Amino acid sequence: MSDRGCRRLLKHLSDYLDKDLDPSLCLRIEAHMKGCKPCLTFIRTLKKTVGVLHRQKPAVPSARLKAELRRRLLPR
Amino acid sequence: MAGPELSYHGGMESEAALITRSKRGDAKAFSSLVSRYEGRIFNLAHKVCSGLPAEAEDVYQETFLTAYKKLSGFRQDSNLGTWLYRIASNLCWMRLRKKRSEPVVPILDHPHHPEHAGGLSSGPVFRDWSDGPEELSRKKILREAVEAALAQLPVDYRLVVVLRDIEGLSSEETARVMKLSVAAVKSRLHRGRLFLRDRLDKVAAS
Repeated sequence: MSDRGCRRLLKHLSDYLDKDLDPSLCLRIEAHMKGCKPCLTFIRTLKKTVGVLHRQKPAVPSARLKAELRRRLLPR
Repeated sequence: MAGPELSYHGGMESEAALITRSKRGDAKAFSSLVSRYEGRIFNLAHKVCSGLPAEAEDVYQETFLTAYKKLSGFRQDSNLGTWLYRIASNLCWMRLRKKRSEPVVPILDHPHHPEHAGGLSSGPVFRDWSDGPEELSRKKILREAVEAALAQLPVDYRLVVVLRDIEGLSSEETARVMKLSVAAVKSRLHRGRLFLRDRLDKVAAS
């Protein structure tokens, strides 16, 4: 596969990971990756990056902050 | 990844009833609405205002104070979650623009490898750090690295990445929050992810 082929597929990789891609293009990407180790590694590490984002710990407002907001919303 | 429900139905008092009461000035009803959404709004503010906890706290409070003030203009057939995310996103954007100059980062249309000036298929291969033991310290390092890298993304990209990949909204919902086309959301998301992948690659190499 030529470098141009890799670059053409690169722009579709997020849609591919999100399963938001035309099935024929998915098949092309999968066929390409079978013969292109750099692309396979690239998509694996991109997928890992998205996985790390999905697993970010949610930040929670403190009890103090929540109480402060209620005080401002419900003035005596 | 399944997106969160952006509104509440059934169960306790309905969201529509709480909105109606809030519009009449019932702050307790509005406080019930706050309880339903404050976790998500705080998380958005915290992730977008990464490293600026005071700003995140201000965005959280200002989002609900602004919403309460402007609730009379909220159309009952709109989605409250989308509306609150939009207010919070705008507040993040304004505060970060004021606070610090926009980071100048290469938004990668093409992946970068220092030894790999050619294409993907020529030259040395990329490092594969996608598998291997997921011990706690490594998970923590990656989580912290992604948080630091997010702070280096221009805020327009950061908002899209946080809404899509952390808050779990769909591209369509993110487009409504950001008032962008779905194509623009997808483009920013992809470029943001490429940038973050590149940063994690550097961490994995070190």
